[in-house]
Amino acid sequence: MNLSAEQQSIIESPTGVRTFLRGEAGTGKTTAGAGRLRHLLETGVSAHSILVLVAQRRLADPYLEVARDPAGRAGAEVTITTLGGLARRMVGLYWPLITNRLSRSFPNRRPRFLSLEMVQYLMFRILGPEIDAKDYFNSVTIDRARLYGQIADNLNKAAVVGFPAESIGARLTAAFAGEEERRHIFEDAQTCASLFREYCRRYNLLDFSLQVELFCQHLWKFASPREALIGRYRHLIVDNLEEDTPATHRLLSEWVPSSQSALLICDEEAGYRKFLGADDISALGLREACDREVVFGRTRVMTRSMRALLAGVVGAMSDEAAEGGGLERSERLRARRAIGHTPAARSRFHTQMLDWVADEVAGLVERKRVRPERIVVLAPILGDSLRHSLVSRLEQRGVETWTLRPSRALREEPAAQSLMTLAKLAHPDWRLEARHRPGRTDVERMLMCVLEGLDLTRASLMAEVLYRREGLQPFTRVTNGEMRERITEVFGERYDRLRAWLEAFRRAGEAEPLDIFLRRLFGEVLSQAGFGFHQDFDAARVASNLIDSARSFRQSAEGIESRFDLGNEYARMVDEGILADQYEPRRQGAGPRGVLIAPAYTFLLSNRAVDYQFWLNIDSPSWNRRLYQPLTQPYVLSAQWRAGDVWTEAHERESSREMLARVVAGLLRRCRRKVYLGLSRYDERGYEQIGELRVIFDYLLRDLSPEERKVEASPEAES
Amino acid sequence: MTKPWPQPRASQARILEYAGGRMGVAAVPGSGKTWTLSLLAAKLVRETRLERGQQVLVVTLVNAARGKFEQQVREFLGEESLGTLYRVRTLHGLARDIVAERPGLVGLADDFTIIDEPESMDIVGDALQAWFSARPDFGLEEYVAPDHRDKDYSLRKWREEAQKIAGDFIKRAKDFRVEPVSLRKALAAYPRLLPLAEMCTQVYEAYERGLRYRGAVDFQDLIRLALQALEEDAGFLERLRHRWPVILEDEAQDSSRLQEEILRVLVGQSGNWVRVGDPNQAIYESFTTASPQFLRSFLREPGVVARELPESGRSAPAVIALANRLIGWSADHPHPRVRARQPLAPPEICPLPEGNPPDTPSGISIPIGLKMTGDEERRYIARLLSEWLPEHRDWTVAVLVPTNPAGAEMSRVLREFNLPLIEMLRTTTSTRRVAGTLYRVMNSLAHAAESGALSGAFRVWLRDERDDPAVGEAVARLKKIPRIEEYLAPRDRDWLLEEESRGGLPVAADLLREFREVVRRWQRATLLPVDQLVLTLAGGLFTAPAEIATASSIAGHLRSMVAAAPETGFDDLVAELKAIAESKRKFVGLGEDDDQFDPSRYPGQVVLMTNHGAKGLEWDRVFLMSVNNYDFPSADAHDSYQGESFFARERLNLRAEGLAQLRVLVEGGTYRIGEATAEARVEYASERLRLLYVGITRARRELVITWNTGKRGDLVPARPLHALAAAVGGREWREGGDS
Repeated sequence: MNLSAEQQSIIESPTGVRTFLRGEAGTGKTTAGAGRLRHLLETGVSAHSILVLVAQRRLADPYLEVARDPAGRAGAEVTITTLGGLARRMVGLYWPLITNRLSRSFPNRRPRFLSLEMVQYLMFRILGPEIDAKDYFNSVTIDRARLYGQIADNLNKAAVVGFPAESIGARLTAAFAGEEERRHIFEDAQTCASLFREYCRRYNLLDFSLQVELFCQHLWKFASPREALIGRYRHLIVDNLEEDTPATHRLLSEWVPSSQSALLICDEEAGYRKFLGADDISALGLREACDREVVFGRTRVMTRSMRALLAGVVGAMSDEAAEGGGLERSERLRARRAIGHTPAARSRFHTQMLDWVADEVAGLVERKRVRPERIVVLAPILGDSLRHSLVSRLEQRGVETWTLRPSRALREEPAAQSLMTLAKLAHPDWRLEARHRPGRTDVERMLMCVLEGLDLTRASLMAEVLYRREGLQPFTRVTNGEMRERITEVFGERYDRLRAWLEAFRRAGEAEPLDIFLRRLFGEVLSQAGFGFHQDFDAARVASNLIDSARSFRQSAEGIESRFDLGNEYARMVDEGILADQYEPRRQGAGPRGVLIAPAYTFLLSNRAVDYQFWLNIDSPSWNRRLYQPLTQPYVLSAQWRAGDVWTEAHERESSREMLARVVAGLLRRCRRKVYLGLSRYDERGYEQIGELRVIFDYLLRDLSPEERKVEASPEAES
Repeated sequence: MTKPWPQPRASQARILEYAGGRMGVAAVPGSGKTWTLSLLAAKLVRETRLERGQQVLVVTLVNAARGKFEQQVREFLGEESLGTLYRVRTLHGLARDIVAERPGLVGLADDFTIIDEPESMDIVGDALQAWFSARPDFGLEEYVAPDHRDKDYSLRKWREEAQKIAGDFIKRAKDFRVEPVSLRKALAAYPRLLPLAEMCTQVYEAYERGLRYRGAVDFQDLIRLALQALEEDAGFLERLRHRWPVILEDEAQDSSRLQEEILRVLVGQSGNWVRVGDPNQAIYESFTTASPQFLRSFLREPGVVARELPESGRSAPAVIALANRLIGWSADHPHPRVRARQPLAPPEICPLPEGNPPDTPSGISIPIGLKMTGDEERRYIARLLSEWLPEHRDWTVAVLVPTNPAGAEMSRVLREFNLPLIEMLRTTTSTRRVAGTLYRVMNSLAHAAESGALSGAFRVWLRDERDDPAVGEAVARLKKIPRIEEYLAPRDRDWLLEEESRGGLPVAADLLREFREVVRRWQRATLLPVDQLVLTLAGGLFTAPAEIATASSIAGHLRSMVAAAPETGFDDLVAELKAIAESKRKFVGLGEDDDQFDPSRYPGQVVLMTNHGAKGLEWDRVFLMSVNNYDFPSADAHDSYQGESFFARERLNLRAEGLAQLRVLVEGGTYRIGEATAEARVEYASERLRLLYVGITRARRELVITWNTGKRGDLVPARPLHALAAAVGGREWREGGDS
């Protein structure tokens, strides 16, 4: 890789220097950070003494790649983690120091860490009846899973921002400009958060918020754990500071000065995790803790056309902008070359837009020989239907794809559902209520999902012939020759292998935990050749997440609740939609080959640049609007919010504009050649929308003549 | 390319001179008001230097009008820019946009859903069941006539009526913007018992809990919450005012109090607002807070420039004269309280100087002397049509009935006479077609091994090309495939290849190959959650936005079924689709319909619809049925009223009484039983008179108006019918004699 002189200077900076490195996306900061890690290892610094801290696991990929380089030295491993990971480890080691902060009833009991699943589950069990009985939240309209999510979120914000969890309600109320009678929902949110907190404390249960609070506000104040940490990790590399929280920033401000070397990397105009407490302003405060500040200013990604486009879009977004984004005519024409958009004739319906996108992508891959991994298709929100429709269109045109998506309910993942159907079939002892028992359709879908290549017609025949109330019947016992022939011996044999495995499990009668059952089922059957998860990357990822989720549910639950059957209870939670596929995909290497389809935010946090970007549904309001959550408010609960202020429309507008500006700039800075705008008059649901992004681009192009605006005539942006 | 502006008439040109401020336009049927307003919108877009993000906003009441608007504005403007300079919305669509822009302001989550009327009534029904099981004798003494108190049928009807009472009560309470808790307080403070209000308040509480549990809002909430959002955040309102510097409103006579309020707030003190409507066509007054008086008072407001669009080129002079006669009759209405309400008022309709369709010899027929039972009336009209239709193949014709059930009976008779029929009752055909299409496809997925189901799916997949011989061949072959899997997912044997090679598919092979790919995609999509499955199917099956929007509403409905009861199986979902398709369950989409029903596409066929549904449409010949004193009463003592239940004490209109109890709780005053019933008669008589006017003005050239004696044989012609018959020289009808 060609490194610039400024990157080299960061990589090779001598120990004893603490550097604050900032710059916009695409200027090569993370490359320098990963280079720095490699350099430290190569120059003999012990891996044991290096800590790489990132805001979320996916951002660690470039560092993991260096740390796992087979050419590297054997021995100790570099610690690559997040604040949460660090907190959990420290609380696990030093909890006896803070027993006064834990349960009074069980002061000597080792605290238990709650997984996300367990938090949701406990809220369901503890808060659910309370909410019903007291008629809490009676002026908001929201489903329960999200209600619990927001209560947990508030607690987490209190911990990472650093305000008392008892003041959540008061903060939200003070900033609320709406009707008097709706204010009580914040009191309700406070009451529920406090109830949950009290329950956790009573039983020594530590959710994420308590882990962070105990670590940052208590343990860190004790000399021994702090010195142990500082003493061990002499070299710090922290990337994407702007995506991290004030708690991390405070910790680092005390830690960095005592380190032997530090490289703190901060993206400008980013902060995409604000809704999770990220704070790009408090990140900048860390400049004070460093010896020097370096700014990377030159993009290593964008062409001149892209740069002109970025300048034009930024201009068109500002309030004072003239038409055309304030660009000179020649620059505007240059910017125009970096834009493609759905032509009018194909922009009436959503499906037309998808066809257009698929045609353009296929055209790039086939005719222009662009490697698929250099293309990304982005949507503000990527629903199943959109993803399915796009993937099938691209597949039809022979283009490979892969997807990154944030969390969603496990019950909506076919792979997870199929595994749970199998688990239920293997556990008649769960004695599920009728509504949780698998029906014929569940079995049909499960077979389709787990037997590779099985079509719905044969799956339907199999479910009809082979599924009985008492369970799955062996194919070998089907005597009707025609039916055997229709199902085919190939599928019959695979089915029997699966069934025999389940039968053996049942017969063994061992009370194996659900996650172990799932892991074995996956490893011994479903991941084998001939079964559905053998080559399906996405399904395998979901399966692995389900196993992780079931395991952490079990581990959290053990010792808390002994009265119920964990597996049964877990299955119920999945059915109710309470549990989500919350684990970030663990990417191996540089990610699968193929065109990436992802939500824009997920792409922005994946640290990569591409040649071509397709932006779908540019009229969707989700491009520039935060997710509305009635019980929480990321801005009001941030460190930057001034106590006593009221959240007004001006704030709303400003935050929306800022968000759009960051997203658009972030995407353009990660694009080398051209952006294609997907326009359709009616969205997927038949609603007509005109989005802010369309308005901005329209404004940018308004003064160009029809000829100059024409898409078909536009030559490809120059390299 | 942009077309040159078309030439408006003088009265239209005066409206197009609009340059700002408030203007109100009273139009008559057929005066081209939508056309004028579209042209005005286009003119404003072209001539105003709109800032970034600003739009000319056009608001219509119903979806059907929206598409027409949109199309016209687009035609006037040509396809320039990315189309961000104007916006056409229905009032509900606009409210949804406002709420969806800041859901947090009004306590909603981002993905709030909108439940439709039937689902909302289901929630009311559940709550009422709880109410009655605790108080089985509730209301008997107060509201049920003594001789009905021990009749099971009457008691069942009373409980059914209670559901409607509560439904109206909740809607109106939302229109008043009062919450259950305030009602509860007002009830406690009111000196006497208000049993209906007591019941409805409790149901209202349970109903609101039900909505919250579903994460949903109803149609009334949309309007109420939009207004609340505008009032709660001045900055938000300011932003929207900047975005929409001009608002053009069509069908303004049908806006409810709250709907008008939204626009009033959006426009502000000094904003630009053009309201066009025809108060004589206000037909949504009963049980809503819409009133033609709102538009009339707007026209008189200081600062409002009042204009008229009195010329109409739609109808023949005789039809126009008849409509104008009805306006005149209304001014002298025999009932003083109806007269005082001015159900119909000038401007009268003026024919165009350049000429209207000419009168025909058989122009208007009002055989008032024919005393017929309902069935006789139906057969009479069917006979007339059988004779008339063969000679008028290029004419359009409609039979307009007062209600959907009456339409169903008429439909049966028209079919019996083998008349070519386009039935537009209950749900629009679009909703039925969408649900029907989805049902066929989902059914083929639920019964994936059945060839009959697959051929059904094929038929709807290619529903527009039914006459193609390849389609016929494909359907016939699909029905008989012995093993579907050998066609769809061949392994050892490929049915399609085998058939092709032995020449069994002379024309359909390519089609079947394409269909196979489609079905494979559908089959793979069955693994998605049901709403996503429906959206995926819809993407491939429909192109019209209205159809996609309806499919999307259906998707949301199925999803909420699964959420409420996770055990809901695929078969249950398919059955639900079938019920919607068969109209057993009414389904209202909030989609933006730009596929308006266009009568001119059906010459030589009989279109059957309700008077209400016919608004905005026109036919060469129109049959207006059942113009008697039940469907069109005049507040006479001998009239009987739809709202007055047979079992009710003293013929009380219980829905009106319920609303009256609500009104005293909200506005104060004293409730006296029976007053509301009397007032409802006056209101209903006024509205039905306008409905008659709407019916008459649907006719371009010929019009036939008939009446019947009703189920018990005691009904007489509607009072205005006498005046109309006299005007066209028809013979008088007198009770006791045939002529």
